[in-house]
Amino acid sequence: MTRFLLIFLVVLATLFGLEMLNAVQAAVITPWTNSLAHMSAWLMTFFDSDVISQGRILQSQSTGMGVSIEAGCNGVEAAIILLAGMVAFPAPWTFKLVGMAIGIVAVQAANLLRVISLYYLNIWDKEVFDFAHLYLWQALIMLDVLVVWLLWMRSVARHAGAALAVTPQTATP
Amino acid sequence: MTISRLGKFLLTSIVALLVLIVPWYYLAPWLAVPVIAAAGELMQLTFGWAKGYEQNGTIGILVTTLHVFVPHNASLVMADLAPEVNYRSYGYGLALLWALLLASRSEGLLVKMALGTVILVPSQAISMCFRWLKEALLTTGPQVWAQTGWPNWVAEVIAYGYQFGFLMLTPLMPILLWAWLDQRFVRQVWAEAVLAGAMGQRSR
Repeated sequence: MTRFLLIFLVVLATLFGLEMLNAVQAAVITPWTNSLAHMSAWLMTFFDSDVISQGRILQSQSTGMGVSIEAGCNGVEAAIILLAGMVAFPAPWTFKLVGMAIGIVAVQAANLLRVISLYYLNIWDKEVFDFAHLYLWQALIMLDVLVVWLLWMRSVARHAGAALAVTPQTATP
Repeated sequence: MTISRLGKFLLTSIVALLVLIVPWYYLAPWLAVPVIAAAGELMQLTFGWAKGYEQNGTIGILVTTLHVFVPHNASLVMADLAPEVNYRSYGYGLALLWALLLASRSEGLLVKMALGTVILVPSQAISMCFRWLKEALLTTGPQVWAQTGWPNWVAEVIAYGYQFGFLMLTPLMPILLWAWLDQRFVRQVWAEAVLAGAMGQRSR
């Protein structure tokens, strides 16, 4: 537990520090955030042709109302927490790499849902938007990260159990 | 079965979060009291220019001796800087912690909920301090920064601390605390999956 926590915190602080660098923001985070707005708009055009994206902004063509995807809303920090959790947990690297790839997709899928829902909540009621934006979705995204990590840990445990059946040995989390 | 355990956990935690975040929102003015007090005391203890703090609902106001010029009747007047921070921005993790403890059917649920509420106070207070520092020193311009006499690299530390507190510490602490308070749940998921893996291998 202590070893996991130490590695987790070091990886977390390092990845977060890297994310904060201006060069990384310009080369990775801003393009990713823009593409997130673009993906959201693309998905929404299936049922709402009024939506467009400009940079990190998701906007209604008719009313001009919209949302801007800012730091903390692009799913990057949630993905960093998940990656740190997977790196710190004792598991074969193939499991870690596959888990990271699937995990990032799962976190970003939930985040797309967050962005789209917040866009409509903002149009509907500003107070409800603020509540969902600042508190509810923040907690839901972390819950998503936790559940993805638990599912991944379960698959690692199953692999350990299968190996145990072939060559008996001790296996602990 | 492991699947049903995790499935139940996910569903219950979502429902519990949706339910518990409402009372948390309305209880926030009272839940904010120890957090704002701890953050205010810490600021006063650490920085000579922090001379007091006040609470207005969920808003924590840091009273400082830092001067700032503000427009008043077409002229600029000098005023004491008093940055404000909303407790709710750093306290929502409490509803998440309560929901997780409820969903994992933690033993001694009420005691753990109360304990978790107290244990989260320091991390919420530290995040709040960095927000106060950011509001006081990074968003008000170089005139205010110059009054501290601090080197410029400290601004980078404050910026990192503020972002880390807001984006990482606040949502993460309830998860870590839950994993610590309810280690039994994570161990059960692990043990059941190991057993399922071993049984699956044997049945081949």
